[in-house]
Amino acid sequence: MIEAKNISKSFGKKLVFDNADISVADGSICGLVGINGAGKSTLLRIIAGVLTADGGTVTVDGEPIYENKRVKRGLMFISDDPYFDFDINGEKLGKFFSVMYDMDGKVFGHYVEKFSLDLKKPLRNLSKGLKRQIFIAVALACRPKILLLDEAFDGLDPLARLEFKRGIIELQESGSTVVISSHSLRELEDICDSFILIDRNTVKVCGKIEDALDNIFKLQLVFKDGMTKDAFVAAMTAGGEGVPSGADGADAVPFECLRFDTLGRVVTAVLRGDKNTVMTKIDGLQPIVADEIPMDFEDYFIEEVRRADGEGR
Amino acid sequence: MDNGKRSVYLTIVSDIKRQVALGLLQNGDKLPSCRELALERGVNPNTVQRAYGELEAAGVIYTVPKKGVYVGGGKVSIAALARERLAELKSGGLTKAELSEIIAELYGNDTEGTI
Repeated sequence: MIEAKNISKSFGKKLVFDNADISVADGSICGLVGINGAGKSTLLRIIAGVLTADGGTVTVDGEPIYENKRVKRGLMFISDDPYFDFDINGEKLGKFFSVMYDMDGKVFGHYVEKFSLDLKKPLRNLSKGLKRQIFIAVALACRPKILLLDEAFDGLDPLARLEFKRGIIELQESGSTVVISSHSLRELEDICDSFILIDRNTVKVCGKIEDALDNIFKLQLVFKDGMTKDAFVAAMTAGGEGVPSGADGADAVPFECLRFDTLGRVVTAVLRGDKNTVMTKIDGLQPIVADEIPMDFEDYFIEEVRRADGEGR
Repeated sequence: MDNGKRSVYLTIVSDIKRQVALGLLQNGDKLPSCRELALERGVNPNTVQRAYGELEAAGVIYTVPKKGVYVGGGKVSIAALARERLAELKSGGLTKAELSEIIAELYGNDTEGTI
């Protein structure tokens, strides 16, 4: 279990994190998302113990990670732009990492073959994607308990991506925890079970992708006499304490209207709440059309980040 | 609906429903395990589990603990599948007139309605 509590971090005057909390369960594949410059790499570096946070604690299985050699042996971090020695080639890189990690030569060989890698060529002469493939082969062969990947799929061809994803799943099956930052949300949705969303200098959401997508939905509505956002929200929140909630009070999700765009009489609304309750209420308004449009993780991300921005983005 | 953008979860559900409806998968056929399918497609086993869960709830497949996942129930018909697809296309803006035209084109104009 990776846990961070009340993390704060600034670089000079630039504030990156203020009171951020995360928790990643063992054996989880966790996607780390946020807009450019949100602090994804910084968070990974803090978890890896490369940077220390200005305040707060980061622990792995209850132990602080910073300068903790024992914990770090089981943790591997592949940065966005991994450093390597000028003359190093794939073979030497493998040897270098096997000094620090308990590397499995057979697994390394397997991926070298899968990716058709030339281990004799100096890394500096390889393309971005090929360099990445070598590092991936090394990472998967090291079988770390915790694998942190920054911009994991960047520059990889589709075949290499698939092979890499298979490798991540096999690693997870052996009990490892994987944290991946990426902008390829489509891919993250497929491979991850949980996610961390960084926004406005903090961790905005940290939880299961399934839960996040279950309570948010996009509808296309047409009302006979048109509808304004205010009238709609008023109608939806009318009655009781004004908030439709789930049948069992504990799991109730407060109703929220995240988006309400009108184009002529057609309304595109993004709503959060207990779906059944909301749909029943909408039925009561007697719309001519009420269709649900499927939402994926990418749509979710856009809605979450846009909402925080007001109408700005 | 743009197929490339759909989540793997929905793709698995609709693929299997389709294959059952078209008779490519028949009652009693064994499906790959969650793990096998997850590894094949490079997706989280939970995602496959969720898709299988939905298919099981819909009566398309059933699980025999410790043995595997099998096609069964046979509640999916081509008609139900067509209905589902059409509902999707309708919300995408397909009009009745357009649909009639397509039907006329595919089935010919005779009112018997056979191919």
